[in-house]
Amino acid sequence: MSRLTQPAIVDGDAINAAGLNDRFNQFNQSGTINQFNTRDAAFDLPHFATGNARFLAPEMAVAEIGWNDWKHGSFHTFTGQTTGAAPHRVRDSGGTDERLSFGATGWTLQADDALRVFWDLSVRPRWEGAARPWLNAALTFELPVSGGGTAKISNGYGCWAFWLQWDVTDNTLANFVNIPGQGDFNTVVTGTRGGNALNNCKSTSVVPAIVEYADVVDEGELSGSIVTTPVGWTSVDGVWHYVHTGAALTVYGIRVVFSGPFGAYHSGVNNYLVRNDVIADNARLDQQAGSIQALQMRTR
Amino acid sequence: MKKWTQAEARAGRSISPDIVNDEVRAQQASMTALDRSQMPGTGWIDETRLADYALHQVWQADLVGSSGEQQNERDTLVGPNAWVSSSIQTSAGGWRVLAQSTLAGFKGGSLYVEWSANVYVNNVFAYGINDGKPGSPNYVNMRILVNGVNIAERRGGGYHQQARLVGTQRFPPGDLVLSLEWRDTPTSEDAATVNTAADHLPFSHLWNNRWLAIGRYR
Repeated sequence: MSRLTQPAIVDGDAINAAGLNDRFNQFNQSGTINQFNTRDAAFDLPHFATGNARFLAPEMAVAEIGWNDWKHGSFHTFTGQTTGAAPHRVRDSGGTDERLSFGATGWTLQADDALRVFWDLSVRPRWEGAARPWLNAALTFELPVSGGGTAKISNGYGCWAFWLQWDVTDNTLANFVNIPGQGDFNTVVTGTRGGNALNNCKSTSVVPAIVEYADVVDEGELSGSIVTTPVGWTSVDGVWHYVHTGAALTVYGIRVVFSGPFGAYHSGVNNYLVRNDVIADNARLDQQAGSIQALQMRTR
Repeated sequence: MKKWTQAEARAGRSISPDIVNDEVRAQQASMTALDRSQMPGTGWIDETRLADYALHQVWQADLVGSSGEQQNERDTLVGPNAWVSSSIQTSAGGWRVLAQSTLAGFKGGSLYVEWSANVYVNNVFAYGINDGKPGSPNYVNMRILVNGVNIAERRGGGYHQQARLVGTQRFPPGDLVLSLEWRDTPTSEDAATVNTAADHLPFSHLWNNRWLAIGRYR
């Protein structure tokens, strides 16, 4: 399309009303003024007479997930898992797996589109069976005790992990897989214990499974009792974003999954979040309600 | 709403070049203030004609660095069931820069930044008897700085847990320097530095760090 290149009027130029109106008309001609005549960011969304009013975020979706009972009277209880297990899924009051559907046609991510996901969930990590079962797992520090002897105490790493899966196959939502950069914690890291390198946990959020501390410490030694506090009902939430590259990709849905109990391990300078299979039977996670939101957003 | 013209041109009216030029400039300047009914040729203004980054711009890292972990302090002398991370032996104290990035091409307007991570804090030693202070948990404080301006700061996590920090601020045009910073609160002077096997004890860590910034220009 054309540019307006009307030169400025200078002293000495002949001018009359007709010429002036011609100049105005140039601005009023459809198709005459175009992108060459407007600066960057000249227009805001309300200016758009045509096109997509949802330019910045073409798609948005939200859903409640879990079992909504704010008094915590009803909930699902899940047992800890060992290496190789498929993760637990968030369930509604009837026991059906919960997920956020992107509709029959899904959302098609073009190159440079961003998918942003926010979620939260009410949970309660707890333990059953033997007292302080983590003493038998790789979840403790052994420290000197004032007056002699040693004692084990939780190292604070013990946790449940939550992460995201998406379905990029079809709208039956029967083909969920981990999002890119997210492992399933089933790759054996040490002994027979599965886990993920920390750089393979892109959508992972953790919630503590053990809260334990020394009542008193005295010059590097435990003094007094070891205090174990139930984690109680708490919330876990997550934020994940993904900027797509390459050919268009259609996403049909997304869901939150979880597993535990996990702890820390390192080999050389590489850190891992690994399972604690030996105490999986003692670990419980009560799950209640939460929500999940997603939006497809342009990045430019 | 501005008027399309400053003055109506009429036959016989005295006129000077400056008046005409003012008129032209006024029309050009008012393009952004017209509502859609006043737009010349209303059919052409849609998002297909937008230049990239005309309305907004996004910068992001879905994993900071190669591992997503803080790299400021990496004590490798911790036991196997702990992470290579900050320990009392390596802790520099104060604010450390976890990640810094230039938000190039910011055109002026609102900037939104979200920073999400998992944090770990060793809170075994929350109460040291010789501190002379009440017991207090340790936290991993987090703050977001843009061009040195603190736009968000929070206490952060006190367990092994997820943490998130969101901030927004208006900035003038020009490249912006985004700085994500963390600080672990000082531990007790009574805290143990090694376990019974003489392994260093980890003190804090941040992992799975990622951030997303949105510049909104209008």
